[in-house]
Amino acid sequence: MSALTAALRAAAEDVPAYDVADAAIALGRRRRRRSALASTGAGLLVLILLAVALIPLLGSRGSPLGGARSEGPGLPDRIGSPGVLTRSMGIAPAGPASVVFTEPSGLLSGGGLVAVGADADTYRTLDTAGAIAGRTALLSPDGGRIAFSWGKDIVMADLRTGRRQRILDPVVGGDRVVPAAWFADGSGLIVVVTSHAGDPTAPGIVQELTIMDMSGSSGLATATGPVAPYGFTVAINPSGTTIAYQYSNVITVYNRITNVKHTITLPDDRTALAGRGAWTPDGRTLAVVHRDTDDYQARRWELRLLDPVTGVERDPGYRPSLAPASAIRLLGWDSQTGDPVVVGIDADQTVDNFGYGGNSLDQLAVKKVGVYELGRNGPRTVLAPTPGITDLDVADSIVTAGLTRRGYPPRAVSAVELAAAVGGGLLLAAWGVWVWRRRRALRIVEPDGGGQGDAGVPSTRSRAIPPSG
Amino acid sequence: MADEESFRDFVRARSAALSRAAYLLTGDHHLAQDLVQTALAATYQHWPRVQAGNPEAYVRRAMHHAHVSRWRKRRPIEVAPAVEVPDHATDESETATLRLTIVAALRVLAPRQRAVIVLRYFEDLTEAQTAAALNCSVGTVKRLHFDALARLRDLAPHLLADVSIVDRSGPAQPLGVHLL
Repeated sequence: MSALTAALRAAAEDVPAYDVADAAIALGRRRRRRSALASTGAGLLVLILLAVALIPLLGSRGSPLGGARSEGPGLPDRIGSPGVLTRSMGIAPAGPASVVFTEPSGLLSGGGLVAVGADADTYRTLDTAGAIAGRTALLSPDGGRIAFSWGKDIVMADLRTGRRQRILDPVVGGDRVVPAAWFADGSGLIVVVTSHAGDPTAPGIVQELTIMDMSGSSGLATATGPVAPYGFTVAINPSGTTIAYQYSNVITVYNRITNVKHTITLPDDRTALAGRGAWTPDGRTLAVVHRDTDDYQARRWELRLLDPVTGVERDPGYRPSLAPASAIRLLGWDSQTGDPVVVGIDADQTVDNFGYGGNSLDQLAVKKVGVYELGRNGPRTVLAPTPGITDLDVADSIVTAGLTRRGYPPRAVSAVELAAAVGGGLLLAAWGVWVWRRRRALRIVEPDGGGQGDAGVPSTRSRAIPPSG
Repeated sequence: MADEESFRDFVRARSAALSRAAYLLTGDHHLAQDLVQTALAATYQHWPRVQAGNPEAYVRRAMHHAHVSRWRKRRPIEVAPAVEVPDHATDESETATLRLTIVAALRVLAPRQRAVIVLRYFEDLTEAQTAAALNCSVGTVKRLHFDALARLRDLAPHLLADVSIVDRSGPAQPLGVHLL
């Protein structure tokens, strides 16, 4: 035995056994209770923070996580950006939509397209490879399908089943096929087939209108001149017998039964076919949109109703209008009020003219888009102007029935909520580390003196002990 | 209740040894009593699982860590007291002097150095067991041991007349480099 050992034993020889058992047991019990309480509290806190953070990410304002609250079919009065976890309609089809819109800031290529359920605010996304709702992606009259341009082909997406069907280019040599209008019964549609003849900048672009229906495809018209902008090109009357389409500044009205064609020459390039809803419900009047230049600053667009045979304005005293607007497009007519329902586009600049073929709408930096009913006493907002979207389309059945409902769009994530989400994540990680360390601390020391536990007290490994003195 | 009984049995069997070790670590009865109580409370907190393993190793580790942790919180300014050894002494007074000397010398050491000395020379643990008790590597134990002996050699060289640093701590190193 060394002198050091002897000295230590001598120093400890008379030390009594301290009677601390009762106090240690009482203290140990308190620590057990505190520890259990802390674990439970930390777990609850983490769960609450996660719930607070995730609810706005997953769902919609005032709606359950699924983002749906059924109020019957109708056009919601508000729409918004889908949540980050909004599912694709291919994975989780949600049935017919009341409205589809394009949101360029979305995660899908070209912004993608978002469909909002007809009965409830069920949001679904669809990758349309850049096709824009209302222009190159059209919702079917019953809201059950979406036809959109996919390069040289048309893709038909079924919102009920989630299936996508590719319809091959009906015209040999076509470079791009764009849907222009659905027939009212959903039996087919008219498409614009563009052949660039190898050089899209060169003159001589051929744009052919083709009818695609159950019986196959058949040519409707061909011209070397450009068609009116997408979304304004074709209007089919409710019975499907008469088709109006525009090339350059000429609207052609074609009766499929009698095979008779009439043409209407428009007075200027600030006037164009009003859109797919240009036919009044009785099929006897055709509407055009016109940029009012009496007050240039007012940015007023109005509808003018023409006789489809003569092209003469029927009632110059009735020109429903919307201002300020960069452009309007006629969706259809509310059967309850008889008033037209239009899409109002507000961009950084007004479309002075359509340029007939320039598709000048595509050049605009759109600020917000809404849906308005242009009554005799002025416009009424049906769907509130929504910032951040490029354009939208509404199912004909919804427009015609005049059905609206309260919308519950997904809420944008605020900075506070984002911070809560990040904080919640960090807290969850910290809690995980804490639990792991605690379990590690509880690891029982093996009889040979090994083991890695720290007996539930702070470890001393991380700090060097400074020399004393 | 069975847990509490077994814990009390354990305390009865080991409290004397724990008390002595705690006294050597702290150099003060009150602090030692408090240290033992803290270590036993930590042990009782997890007793259902601890008793299935090696309770003594667990409580020892708890005690040493509580000791270091407490030192960190308080961080007293330690001043090396003069360790005086009387020239002439009886057997009884020699023992008393030895006690005073070792207690005073231990106080000068840093807590982990002190723990290494107590574990190695009082509880007679190996380096590996000491490392396990302090939850550090064997290399750290060797360094602490070396530094502690160097310090003690300055303060009370007569206690280390028969202690070889080489034998206990591995290869010999020049003392002068590490002397404080």
